[in-house]
Amino acid sequence: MTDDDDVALVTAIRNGSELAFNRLVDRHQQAVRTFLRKLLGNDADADDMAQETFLTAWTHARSFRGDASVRGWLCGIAWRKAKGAQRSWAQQRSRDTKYQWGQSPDNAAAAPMEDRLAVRRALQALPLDQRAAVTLCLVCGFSHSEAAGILGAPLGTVKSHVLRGRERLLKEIAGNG
Amino acid sequence: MTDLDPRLTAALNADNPPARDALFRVKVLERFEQARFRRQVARTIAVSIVLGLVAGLNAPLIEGWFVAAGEHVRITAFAAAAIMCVVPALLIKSSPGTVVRGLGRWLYP
Repeated sequence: MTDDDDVALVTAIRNGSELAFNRLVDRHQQAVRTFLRKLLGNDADADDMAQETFLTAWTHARSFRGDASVRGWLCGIAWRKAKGAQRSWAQQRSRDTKYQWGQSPDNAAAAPMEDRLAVRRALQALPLDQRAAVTLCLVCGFSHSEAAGILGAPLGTVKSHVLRGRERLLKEIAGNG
Repeated sequence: MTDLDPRLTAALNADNPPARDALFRVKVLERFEQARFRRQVARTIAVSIVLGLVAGLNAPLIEGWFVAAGEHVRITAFAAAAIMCVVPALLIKSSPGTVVRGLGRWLYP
């Protein structure tokens, strides 16, 4: 999978190819859902917003200019949606995350439960911009400059967000022993 | 880089969704179809309203034709009514441009 393949997919989507849209969803659903899950702290809301993100990508395929990767473009759409919906889900978050933390994800065996809960709690305690920067750079694998492009924030701000966010998360893990 | 970094990375990636998820794709396609259906219904309703308004506004003229030209106008009115029924149905399947081109080919083969 290369960036050229992705650009070809978006070009096909602009021409109305539903097959290309299917492939785009297949390729990038993990990144978009991961980003939104960390951002919202609620898997169901995040998946719902991820679906909306892909529909927006279909209807606004012409807005892709090619100056960023397709994955970055999709995460940018997701970020704007999450920011727009911030107020409504902030009210529900405390209730829903209590339920979420009690659940056990399928691929949770790789990390101890205490670490996962501590990191998740610490991540949700970060301000939204900082959480987004940390997720994009430490989880989704974007560079600082790519994350700055996605979030529409200055590069220095993103670097500072990642540095501080990472420190806070490490502190939480260290507290677990 | 500290010895805590691997633990942080593992914890951050512990509950990521799977790389392939057919159910998620199906849900996206379901929403996609719902959105398309809503757009098509809205377009059909809009076209029907416009055609109804045009017919309503021109009712006196149409009535005058009926009185003046009798059978000839009745045939024309029947054809117009048929087109009014067919055009929205065609719009559901096709873009307006395709419909106009199709009608053009049908009227002027």
